[in-house]
Amino acid sequence: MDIDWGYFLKTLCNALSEGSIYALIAVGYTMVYGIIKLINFAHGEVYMIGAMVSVWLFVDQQLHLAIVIPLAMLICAALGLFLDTVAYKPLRNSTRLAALITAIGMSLILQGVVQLITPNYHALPVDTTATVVGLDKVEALAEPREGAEPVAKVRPDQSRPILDNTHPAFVGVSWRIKAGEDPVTVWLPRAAVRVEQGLPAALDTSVVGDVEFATPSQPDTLEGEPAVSVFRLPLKDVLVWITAFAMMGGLHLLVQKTKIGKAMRACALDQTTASLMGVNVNRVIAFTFMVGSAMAAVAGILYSIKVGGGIFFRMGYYPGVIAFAAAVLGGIGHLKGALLGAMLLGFASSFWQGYANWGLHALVPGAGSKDLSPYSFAFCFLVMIVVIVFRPYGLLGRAGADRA
Amino acid sequence: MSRWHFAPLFVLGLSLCGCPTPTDSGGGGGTGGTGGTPSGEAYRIAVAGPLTGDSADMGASISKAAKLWEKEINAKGGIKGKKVELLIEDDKGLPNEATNVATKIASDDSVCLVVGHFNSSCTKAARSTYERSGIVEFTPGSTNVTICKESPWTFRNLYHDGTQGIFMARYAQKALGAKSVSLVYENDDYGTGLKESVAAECAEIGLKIAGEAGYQRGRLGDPKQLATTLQSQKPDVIIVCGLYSGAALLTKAIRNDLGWGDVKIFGSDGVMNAAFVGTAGETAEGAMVVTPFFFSDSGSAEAKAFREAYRAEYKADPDTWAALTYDALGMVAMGIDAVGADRKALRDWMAGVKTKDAGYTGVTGVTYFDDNGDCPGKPPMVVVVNNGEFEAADPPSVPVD
Repeated sequence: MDIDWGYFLKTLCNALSEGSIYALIAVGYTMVYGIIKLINFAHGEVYMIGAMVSVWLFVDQQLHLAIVIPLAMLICAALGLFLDTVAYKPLRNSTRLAALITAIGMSLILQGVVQLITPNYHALPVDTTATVVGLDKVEALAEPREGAEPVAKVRPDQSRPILDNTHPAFVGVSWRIKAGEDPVTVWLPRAAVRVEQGLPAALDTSVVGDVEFATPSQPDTLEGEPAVSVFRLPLKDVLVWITAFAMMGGLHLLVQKTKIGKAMRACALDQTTASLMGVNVNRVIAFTFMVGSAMAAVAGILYSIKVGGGIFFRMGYYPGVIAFAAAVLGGIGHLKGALLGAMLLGFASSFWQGYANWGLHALVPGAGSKDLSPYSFAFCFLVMIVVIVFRPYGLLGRAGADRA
Repeated sequence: MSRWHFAPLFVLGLSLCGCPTPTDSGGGGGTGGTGGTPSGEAYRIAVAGPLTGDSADMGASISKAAKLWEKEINAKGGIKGKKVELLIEDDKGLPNEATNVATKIASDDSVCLVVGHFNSSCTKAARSTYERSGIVEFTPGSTNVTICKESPWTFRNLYHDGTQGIFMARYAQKALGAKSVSLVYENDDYGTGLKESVAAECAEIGLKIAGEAGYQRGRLGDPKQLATTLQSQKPDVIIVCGLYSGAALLTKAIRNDLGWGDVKIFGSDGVMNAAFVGTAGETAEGAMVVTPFFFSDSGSAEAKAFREAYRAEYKADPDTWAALTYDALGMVAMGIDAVGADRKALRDWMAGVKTKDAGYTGVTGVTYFDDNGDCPGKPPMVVVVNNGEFEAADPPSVPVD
């Protein structure tokens, strides 16, 4: 059977990106579980808030991405600290089930709060857009001064303007006034324009390199189709991988090489002994929550950059559950296990979406138009269940193994 | 110690079965009535739709239109001298929430009728509750084929997906010149039902289906993989049977991430919302969308009056769903005027509106019902995104019969 290698590589590349994002969320679950044996179900919401906050900072506050990322991480770290202090610390010595129910409760509360503040979908616009505020059409001027002759009425528009911000009271907008015509620079009162910062279009379309493959013989190829299948490695995905792996590497160093990391490992082994040795257990736990939440914030930012939209109050639920499944699959409490599990589920999800129908038709003759593609999430959980049946402690977990 | 190693699995199971309801906190946000009026002094009508969640933009149109209608009718002195009070409820676009909302509405004896729900899966989930309690469920948005057929208490004021599916397949072939199409659908009652209907008509007219691909609403983890799968199917037209939220992310991935410009994107009426363009931005240009109704400058006097009133109230243009909600409420007022606010009498009155002449003439045309409670006589049409706004496509329609 012929294999379309270009398509295979595209799917591989999507799988790696999806896995990278799950991995960043999964470490938060795994670290917290490693230390206090708590499944922090509000973690998916921290991821959601990370995405929300980054969109708010980037689009509405017009901050640079280099400021947005650390700021969103800080805000989410503070949220993690808040969660621990308010919800989990008072329950430290009660049964684990109490803390677990509290975690589910916190998850619902955070979703509800965000739902009240912002009930809709949000998107990260590509390229800076300017919109005329309000429905009333605004007179555009040829020159930036009061009383100048209007050139045209401008209506809300989605075109990509080049903005001139030099004048204090007016914004120069290079705009298409009529569809199909060349853009003209017009001047609008500053109050009449809402400028939305967006991702540079280049980020969306740039490629690192491309490879061509001969396509398999396809009897029904339409006329004029190229005889090659081209794989382009998108810059955006490469950035997602680099960021995710750098964050994971940094976390590994933090846990293995620093004093606080040593304290985390000590707490994971035995909290009582660690506290007798002078480790401030509560501070270590709070720190763990903060680090995990900051990682989730990065995942949220990467998701918003990668997908460019779909940011809303319920977005954290499914990635959260998948990432949790990834942490369990890899062996909960293990950082490397979380990465491994997340990658496995990212691959399961993407390859199911890409190849389930192909496999069905290859294996089951007469399957007709049955479509398996919507069940990629179900397949992820199937993978997890199969692994857990044969390795109850997860891929890298061992009974009684040291954690964190 | 060992006991607890099962805890993660247990909790995962728990969360999968029990948690898809996000919260209840938004539920109270929707009461639209003026409050304080005892139920005996006003006619109470419930409006249920997705005020929050992944179809919240449509829910916003619905509740805005409902509030505008309430304000207008009370300014005119209500119905037969009695005020009208709306009870606006949020089902979040989730079937399980819809059932909760339905129980709440149906058990309130002062409510005479429900305008809602919006998402087909919600209308369907809530349907049996309304049927049991004997209260009419009048949807201004659900198009799944079986919705009205299976309950004598359920009506709608737009076409159903049998018609929409035939229309989409024929439009793709005749107007867009498609030789092969890929079908993308949301894996819920609306998406799968419509997809089947499109697929059946494609087989009928000999339009090749290059492939199908589905996703879960609100769980489109990686739209790029979906787009990649579609690209490998090499269709001329991608038919999206789903909501604007998913369609926008998919469109963005197709145009930007894959740089795939020469495929036409043809969305069902679930995509008909300004938020589609808002999310997809420039990539939405040229996308075509089916709609039951469209505000054009040559529209009827009712349409123009509604648009003016809506603009004056909200400083924004009304959309299709606002118009259909407004019409549904208008028709309910006509019914109350004719037979009063008894739940059973209202149902019988609606079931009796069987001809165009007896029908209710509103913003979106004339509403009347066939034996199932479906609404004939409102054919689908197509709009296209041009320069960030929807405008009538060329041709706007193809014959369905």
